[in-house]
Amino acid sequence: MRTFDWIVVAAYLTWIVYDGLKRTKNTSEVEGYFLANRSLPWWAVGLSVMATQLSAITLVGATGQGYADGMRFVQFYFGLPIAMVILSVTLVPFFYRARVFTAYEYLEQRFDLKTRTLASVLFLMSRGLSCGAIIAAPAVILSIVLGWNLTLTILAIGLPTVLYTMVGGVQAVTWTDVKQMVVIVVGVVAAVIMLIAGLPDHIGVGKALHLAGAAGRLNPVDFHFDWRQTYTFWSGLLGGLFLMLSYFGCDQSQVQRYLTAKSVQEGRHSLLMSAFVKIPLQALVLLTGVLVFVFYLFNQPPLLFRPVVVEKIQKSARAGELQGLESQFTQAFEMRRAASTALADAAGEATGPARAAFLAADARVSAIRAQAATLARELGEGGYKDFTGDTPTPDVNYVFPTFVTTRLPPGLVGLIIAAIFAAAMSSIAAELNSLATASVIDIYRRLIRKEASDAHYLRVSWMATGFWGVFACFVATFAAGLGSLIEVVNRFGSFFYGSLLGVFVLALVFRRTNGHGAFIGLLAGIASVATFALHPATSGVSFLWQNPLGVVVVLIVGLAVSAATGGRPAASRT
Amino acid sequence: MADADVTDARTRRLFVGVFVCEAATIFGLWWFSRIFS
Repeated sequence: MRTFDWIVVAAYLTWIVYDGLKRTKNTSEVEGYFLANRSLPWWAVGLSVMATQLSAITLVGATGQGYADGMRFVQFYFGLPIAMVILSVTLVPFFYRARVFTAYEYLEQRFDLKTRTLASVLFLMSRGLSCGAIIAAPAVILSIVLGWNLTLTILAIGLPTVLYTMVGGVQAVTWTDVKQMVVIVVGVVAAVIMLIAGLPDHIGVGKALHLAGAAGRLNPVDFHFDWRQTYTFWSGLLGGLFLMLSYFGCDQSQVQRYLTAKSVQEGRHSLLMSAFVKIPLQALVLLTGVLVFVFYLFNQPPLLFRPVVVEKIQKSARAGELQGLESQFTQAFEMRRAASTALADAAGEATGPARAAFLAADARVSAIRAQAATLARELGEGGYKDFTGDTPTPDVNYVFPTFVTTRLPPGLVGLIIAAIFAAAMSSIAAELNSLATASVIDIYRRLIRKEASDAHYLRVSWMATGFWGVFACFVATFAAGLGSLIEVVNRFGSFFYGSLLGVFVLALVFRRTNGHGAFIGLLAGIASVATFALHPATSGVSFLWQNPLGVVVVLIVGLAVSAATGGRPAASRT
Repeated sequence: MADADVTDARTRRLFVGVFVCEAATIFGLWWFSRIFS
């Protein structure tokens, strides 16, 4: 990073923190602090919903996926628009009518205190840990790619976010989300423009896309059904539908976004914004990665994208092998570049010698990279056994930051690093805000101190936000050193989603079910999903299918236990 | 009837728009990949 880039990043951070800190209007009461007095316009809430979902690891991970494996990842979101319509018709009006602060508060109104508390505690556990992972993942990448100190990077992302979230509450979160979403989109569009401008003179956009298609990178829709594949039309549409229903309907970090809207209609419209925009936006992010792949057809990419691994091999007794592979890689790259030009000149012919030569050259490049991955694995880098497309999986998240920092001009590097910061901070702020809300409303105000002034609860809310911020930074520092822990944390969180959705379906659809059924059903659902995910016989099934499983188990157990314990008194059925 | 229970005409049109848009987007993505594969 050059001086101008530092100025851009510093300007972004200053602007966002200043903007967040000045959003303290009407935050002297708990409802103002947590729900902005239900006064925000749909478009601001809609952008906040999208910014919360789009974390930094999604941004750099999706571009890396596009580079390594093409556009198939977009199918993950095919269930989202349908989920948004279902939620707009069902949960959104229920939450508004119940005048709740948290999704779990509604569970007490419908079932009982123990079900609410269990759901809230599960949310606090999983989101508290995942918030650390959300900070750690981009911090590790940025610290390595930019050469920054890891702890300082974690603090650079975490501290400003904690500061404005603590002081400004949900208004600060929402209005900074709006600006951060703009920064992210501008950053991605700028990257696309630079990628297109960086193509050789004789390669237009059409030829570039033909090359990407020939290399199997334009594969956004796959109608094959396979339980083990996460990125197919059916996994995305059905498994993804349940995941999105759970995430947007039962996760406080999202529910709280649309509870701040002016009315139930505005809340619905804020969700529908994602329904319209999410898939095209995700396709654009993936296409950025695909264009990075095309860019690297004509400009030599690194053999391995993680500089720490390369340094480790260079310092080992096997440095000579790496040098040999680097030399072979350069030759293979030159052959692929020539084959790419020939195929582009043949207008991306569907069959024929130019295409065959291109595919052979591309396979050669992949084979040499696989040998380098084997070398890394043999030197103790265990993650290098897995591949995403033709790229070692641990390298995928480094592709886009490497391209940005080594190939883009000063200023633009700063803008895109700011966009990565924005993606991280917008997700973290919403998480911290929702963690504080659940802690104060579901635990402190409900179980510890029921009667106190708004000023008291507000002080506790500030403290809760600060506590979760410090906790997240601490977890991030710890998680960053143990790469696989991030995956464990994410997997841990995914155990709850389907089961939580199941409890809300019990609440809304089955009027005879009671608190015992919901509580035991929730526990049974989590136990089933955890067993399913960890058992050797079923662990290969895509995690998306864990969500419908959780729903089904909760419904069956919840209905059975409710029936066995006398159901719900007729007088309380509404 | 409470405000929460009413789905106004604009919202209903938006619901239909979501499904039409999603179908068009998926078809567009599929078509896009067919052209350039």
